Amino acid sequence: MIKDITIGQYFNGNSLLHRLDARMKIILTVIFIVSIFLCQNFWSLGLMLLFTLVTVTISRVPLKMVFKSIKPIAIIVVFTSLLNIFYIKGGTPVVDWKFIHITSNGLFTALFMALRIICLVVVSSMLTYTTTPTMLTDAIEKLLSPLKVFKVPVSTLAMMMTLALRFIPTLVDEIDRITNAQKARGANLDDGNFMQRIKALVPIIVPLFVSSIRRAIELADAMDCRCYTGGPGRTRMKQMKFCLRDFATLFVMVLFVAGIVVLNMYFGAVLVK
Amino acid sequence: MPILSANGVTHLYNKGTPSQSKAIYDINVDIEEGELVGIIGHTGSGKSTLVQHFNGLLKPENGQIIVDGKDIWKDKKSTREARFKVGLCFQYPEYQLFEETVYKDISFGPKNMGLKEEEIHKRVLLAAEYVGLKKELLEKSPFDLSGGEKRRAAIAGVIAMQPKVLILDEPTAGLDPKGRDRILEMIKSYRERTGSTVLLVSHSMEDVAKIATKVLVMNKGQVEMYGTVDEVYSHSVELRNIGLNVPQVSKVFEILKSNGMNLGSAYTVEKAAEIILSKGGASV
Amino acid sequence: MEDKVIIKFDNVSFAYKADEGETVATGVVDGFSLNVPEGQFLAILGHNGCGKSTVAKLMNGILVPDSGTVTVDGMDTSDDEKVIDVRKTVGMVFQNPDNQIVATIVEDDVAFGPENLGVAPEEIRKRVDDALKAVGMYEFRGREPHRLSGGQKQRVAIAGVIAMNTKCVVMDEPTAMLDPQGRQEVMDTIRMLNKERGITVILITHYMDEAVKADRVVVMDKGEIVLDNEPRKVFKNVEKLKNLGLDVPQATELAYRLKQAGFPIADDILDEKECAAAILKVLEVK
Repeated sequence: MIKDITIGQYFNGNSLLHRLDARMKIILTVIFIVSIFLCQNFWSLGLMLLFTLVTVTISRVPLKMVFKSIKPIAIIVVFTSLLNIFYIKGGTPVVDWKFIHITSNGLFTALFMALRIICLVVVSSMLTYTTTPTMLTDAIEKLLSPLKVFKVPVSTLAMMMTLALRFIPTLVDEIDRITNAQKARGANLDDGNFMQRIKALVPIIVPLFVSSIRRAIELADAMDCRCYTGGPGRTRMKQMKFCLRDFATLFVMVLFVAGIVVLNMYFGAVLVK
Repeated sequence: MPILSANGVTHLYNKGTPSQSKAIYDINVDIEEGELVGIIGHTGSGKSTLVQHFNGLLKPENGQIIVDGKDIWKDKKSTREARFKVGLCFQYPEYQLFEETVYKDISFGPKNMGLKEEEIHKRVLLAAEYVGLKKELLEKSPFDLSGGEKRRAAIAGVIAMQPKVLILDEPTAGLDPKGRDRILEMIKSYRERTGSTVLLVSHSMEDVAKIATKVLVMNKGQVEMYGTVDEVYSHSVELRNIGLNVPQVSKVFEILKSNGMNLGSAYTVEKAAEIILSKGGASV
Repeated sequence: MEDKVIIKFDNVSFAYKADEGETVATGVVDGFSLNVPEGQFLAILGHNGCGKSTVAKLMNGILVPDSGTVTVDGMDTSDDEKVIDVRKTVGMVFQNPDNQIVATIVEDDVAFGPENLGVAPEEIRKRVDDALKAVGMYEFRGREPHRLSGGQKQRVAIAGVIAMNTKCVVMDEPTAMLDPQGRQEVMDTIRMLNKERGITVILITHYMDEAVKADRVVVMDKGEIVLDNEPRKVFKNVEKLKNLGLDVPQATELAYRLKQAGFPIADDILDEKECAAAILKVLEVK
């Protein structure tokens, strides 16, 4: 049943990663993404892979779910690899047959890019697997709060995100109901060509639109009644506090970045200029 | 031959999810043509799941649904036919209105049936008349109607398909007493005029008592009772045990009975007054 | 001692404006005056479009009167500077439980009001726990609202109002979209609010069996008050209520019908127990 969906892809658990402060997790993820692109040889690449595997292991998220997050990007990985293999020149030729010229640089770049993209997706999905959408929203709000100086309505944006998350299941449920109601009147949603199918959606989209507007108006009144002004002076029940484990993890991350830099310097770049 | 039967119908949904409470098990029921059946049961008893099987919106995992002598899952054509033979009107049907005019909205169903223009025209006018919508409203936008009118326009959209069985899921939900009585009156007269079968899903034992000829009680995904209003409502203790509240007048009669005054049973005010007056009215 | 009046309507008129500036016929309130004493459980009855929801929205400044004044705890609701104080005093629960819950987790939603008021975090935590316990939803504090039943969602909404420490709660048909079980849950919660916490409750409804439980019933028609009394005295007017498109409890109607037919029975009956007792009294005498 469509109604049972879980918003986002949070995986309930109590691992170290789950308990980390959401702000710290976002910061760490950003540092990791940057460091991914620092790797220049197989040693630093290996360290990156090791780090990714360790992260997955301590998160206790089942491997099956991790693979699920890689699946949608598989095509992109294959495609960029092929492009790299055939179009990057330099280094020693590996295959030189008629119009096909493959060089070592091409192969290495393809391998590097593929591994980088996979690690990037796996680690970012660790963030969303171990953090509830609510916590993420709060963390983003906190991290962006310095932008308030530049008159960016950070709190309002965060409130909008929360409301969007809150109403996704409600609207999914509503689509389900309207679809059934129109099907009961003989609406044919499954057959026909592209244009016919688009046309068949009108009886669903119009009522959905009408009811969403009605909901928005009622919600606005309800928020007014509960003294929401969108202005300053709002406090939060759940305070975010960095604790020891957050700083310890940050320290590990710094070590990791330092490791990558050292390995790069010591072994040099694998690509030939 | 019954117009609508369920033979051993089972639908489990995904086990272990919240929807499991909507499951139904081994439902066997025959609905005779021309009956007005009230379907009662508390939320999660499976009554909405059951009625969505009757018009083929849900496919049973086990068992058969027979409409007008035909298994509706025999082939694709039979399933589509079932949609039109069994008209299902959902709760809060006004939220499914979408066309520019009321007329166009009511004609949506008949159009999907592939009927000719004149036939559609005839059906729309007739359906509007059944639900008591004035002709001048037909050219208005459905969104300009009042709440009660919207609901009646939406019901007309189902009636216009001229189904053999009309199923209404909580047609009076959220209406005030006047709006509620108007809908109930409409359902009653629709059935009398067309002779078609009507199934009324309701939380209100009072409403069902007012207009139904038979009552189907659902509990935990199974049929708990099925019989005439008298038969079912006389089991007030069993009804209460499954979380259903008998009408207040029935409670009055129960209290009288427990005080040694057995006047039989009554579930509408009219009937109750009649019984009491026949008992004590003569000597007054 | 005179009871303190918490909400006061003084000759209030209001009409909705359509786009072209014309007034809309439904929901009009005309020359409406009403005093709600602190601690009262007041039910406002009327058919759809009689203006009862308009009255509800006038009570905490969601709408402000075209003429006349609404005073909440001494504050004029049309005073822009007092708007937050008015809403801190009068909380509101709406009909559709889905459209008033703002957070993705139950306890966060209850915290929403106090957060907006700038209450300190530890104090919010205390209020939220207390409010959730009061409505019996404490075990559900970590749940997602969309997985709750209608009755449970309304109880969360009520907890949200309790957590704001309002003196008064206005409920605009809070049970209209619920099943009988949900209605029962919400009615029990409303009674608890009023009896145990001394919160003034204004219940807008068209369910008579709910109005019976109030201290006072006001019946509205065409934007005006037509009856205003304790439930027993209001429901005596069976004919009048029916003409207004309203119901009376079945027990009351039964007694009324019997009396019309010459049966010597009291006409101020509210529930099944009273009705049975009255019938017994008459029939046993004979």
